[in-house]
Amino acid sequence: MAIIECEVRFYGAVTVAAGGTDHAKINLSGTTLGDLLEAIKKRWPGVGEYIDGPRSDSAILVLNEKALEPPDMALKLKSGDILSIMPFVVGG
Amino acid sequence: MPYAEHKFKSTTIEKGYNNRTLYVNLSTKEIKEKPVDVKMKETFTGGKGFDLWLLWNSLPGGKITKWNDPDNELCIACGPLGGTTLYPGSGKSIVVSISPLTDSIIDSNVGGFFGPYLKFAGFDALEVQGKSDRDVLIIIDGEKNEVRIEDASDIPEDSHLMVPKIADRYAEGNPRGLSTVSAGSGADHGLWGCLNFSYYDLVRKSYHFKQAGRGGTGSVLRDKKVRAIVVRTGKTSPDINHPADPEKLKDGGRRYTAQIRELDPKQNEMAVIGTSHLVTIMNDYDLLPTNNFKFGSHKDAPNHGKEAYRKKFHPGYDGCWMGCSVACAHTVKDFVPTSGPYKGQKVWVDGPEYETIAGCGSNLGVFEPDFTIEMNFYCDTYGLDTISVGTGFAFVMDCYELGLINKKDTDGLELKFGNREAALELLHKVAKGDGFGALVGQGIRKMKGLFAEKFGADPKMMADIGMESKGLEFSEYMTKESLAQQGGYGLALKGAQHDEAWLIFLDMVHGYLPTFEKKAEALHWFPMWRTWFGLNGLCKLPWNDIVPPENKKLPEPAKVMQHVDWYTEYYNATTGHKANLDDILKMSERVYTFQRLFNLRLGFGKREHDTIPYRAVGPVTEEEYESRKERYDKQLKEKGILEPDGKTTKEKIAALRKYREEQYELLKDAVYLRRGWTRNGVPTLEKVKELEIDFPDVMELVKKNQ
Repeated sequence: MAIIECEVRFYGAVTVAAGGTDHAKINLSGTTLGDLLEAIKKRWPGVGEYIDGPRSDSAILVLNEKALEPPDMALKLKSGDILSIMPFVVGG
Repeated sequence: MPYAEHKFKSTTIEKGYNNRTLYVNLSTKEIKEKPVDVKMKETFTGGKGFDLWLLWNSLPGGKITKWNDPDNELCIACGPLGGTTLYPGSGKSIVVSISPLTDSIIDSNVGGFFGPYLKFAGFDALEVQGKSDRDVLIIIDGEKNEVRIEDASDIPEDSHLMVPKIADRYAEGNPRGLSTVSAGSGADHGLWGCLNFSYYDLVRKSYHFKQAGRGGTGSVLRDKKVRAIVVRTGKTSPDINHPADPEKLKDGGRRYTAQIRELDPKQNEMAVIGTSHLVTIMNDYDLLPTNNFKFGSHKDAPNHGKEAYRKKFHPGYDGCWMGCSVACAHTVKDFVPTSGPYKGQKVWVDGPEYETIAGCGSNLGVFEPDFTIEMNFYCDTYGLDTISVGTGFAFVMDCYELGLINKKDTDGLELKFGNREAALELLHKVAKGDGFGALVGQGIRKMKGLFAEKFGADPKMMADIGMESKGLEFSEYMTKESLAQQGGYGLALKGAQHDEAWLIFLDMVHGYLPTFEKKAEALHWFPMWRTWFGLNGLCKLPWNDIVPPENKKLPEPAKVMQHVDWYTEYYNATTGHKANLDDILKMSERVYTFQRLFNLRLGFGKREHDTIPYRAVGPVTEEEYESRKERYDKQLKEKGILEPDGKTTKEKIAALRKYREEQYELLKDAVYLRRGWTRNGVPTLEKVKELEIDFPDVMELVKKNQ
């Protein structure tokens, strides 16, 4: 199976749930958004709460600067894609 | 002996109102009370609405009043909901005046205790008119029920020294019961003067400040020779507003507070790191102003974000009004400045917030928190607006690097991006009105004329890169790729401030605003809703910086409708009205439209004034174009503007500019139509009548400009 490399970025309190990590590269053995989210949950269980756990109301998923509303788990990814998990951003 | 004195009767606030305001004239030494009638409340609600109405009626007819004319006023009001300690974010003051930067109406919404204390002392608003011939204090003493104008010749000029001295004299053993409005020595020498609103921290046993930063209101205060306005009260209680339905208000306040306490730690951590969380987001989305808005990101920006400030901020509760659970105002303890008159001394620094981090940081090409903290300290105590200083200095540095001005012009300062020592030295020169600093302290709009006249700088280039609109320096967001936010700045009544509408993510990331109609709707709804906070003495942060569960599943998540409904309940519980959302928005629309007409009265408020510099719209220089070449080339191709292959960068810049400037004009048309204004940006007679602001002098003005 092809391996693709995606970047994940965490913002706001999501970085706290990731133990202070604000960005990381992930080598993914699958090719879909669902595969990437599973990999994130495995590596940072706290972040998993923002994906489909009790904190999921407090975050949005953004792929390459476009919000995923709602996220399509079957969405195909490619190397270099950047997935952000962040609270709703409203400016100062 | 006071220069003037006025005794007043104690009042009880009923359903949020004292039903009177206070007028002080420094020229004639007249001090009097003015009644607030039902019509005034129905039409203008309070806060900014009262300020505008009082100022409108106090200016002489038949002439245009300038900012430094004795007839200009500084108006400060709270609002019917302001002063509540049971509901988060309910302690705001709203300042209105004629701005020295824009020559038009400026409004500024600020924390600290002054506005609520003014109300507790017995007044829904304060007008200060005229000019004193010597430095004075205005004391509004809610304990002794008197207002006095007193000598201030022995009061220090800079706010961090001034306020403790004032408290020694007037607090009478209750420092928490005293609040001040002051500027600082910098406001004496330029047009960027801000107002420091104080609050006393019982735990730290020290005074701290929030700033009414925008538009030079501190320069107005000092032009009137007021060192500080002081209010004193012993009254603070949860039900001091005597709300119509206290139980409903308490229940609503408890519910909101609990939600914020639960969700803020899971979302933006405002109570711990304030708005500094925005730095990395803005940087990663190419929105962080860097080197005078040329670029939107920098590799060193993460060093200057929330994790740096998590370590710098002193732990503790930092609400700028009692009972606020957002508590986003933060402070740095025992900071030691490296320059200027307070070099080597340990000081408190209130902030920095996101705008200061970006303005007095990335926009100057500096990514060191201690530099920004030092700029923040000096701006505050000198009484200078950190946003205008940041954006203004960025303009100067850009002019320097482009060779429009040189070292001889700048009194020897090498004002290159990243030169922190030169930036600090320039700040001290601005504060003293010294040499080149005196020119810079006039603000970007006047700098452009002065640099052309004195140094032969290219006016066209300065028009493109001088980041001001209506004379007000831009706050700190990049707008090149968001047409909606270009409107958020360019169509804002007071100038380039984002507090009417922050639409960048809605436009660029969520894709909610694909058409002109959608953009226009957002540029109507959000300014109307956000205006409402300023009418009522409220902070907007609890509304959308903490988002409730299920919000993102709603049809229009950006409006955070659960909170909008809660605010409507809060208003009704306090005032006893039965308002619905349409009524709430209409309250704002009346005042918003009236403010537009006030601009018209002062010679502005038309289409030609809703302009923004091209750097807010697209790339001015080849360096900027090349930094986002892929994005710009793609747009040229996809929109059918120009086939980019084989074209020079200069040709591509010209084609993109023509297209984007046309788009901005089309946006204006759409927004004016949605707001009920003519194509020239003037509210129609029908709109003015519909909003019931059709006073005879207003109608005369509107008829002349249809």
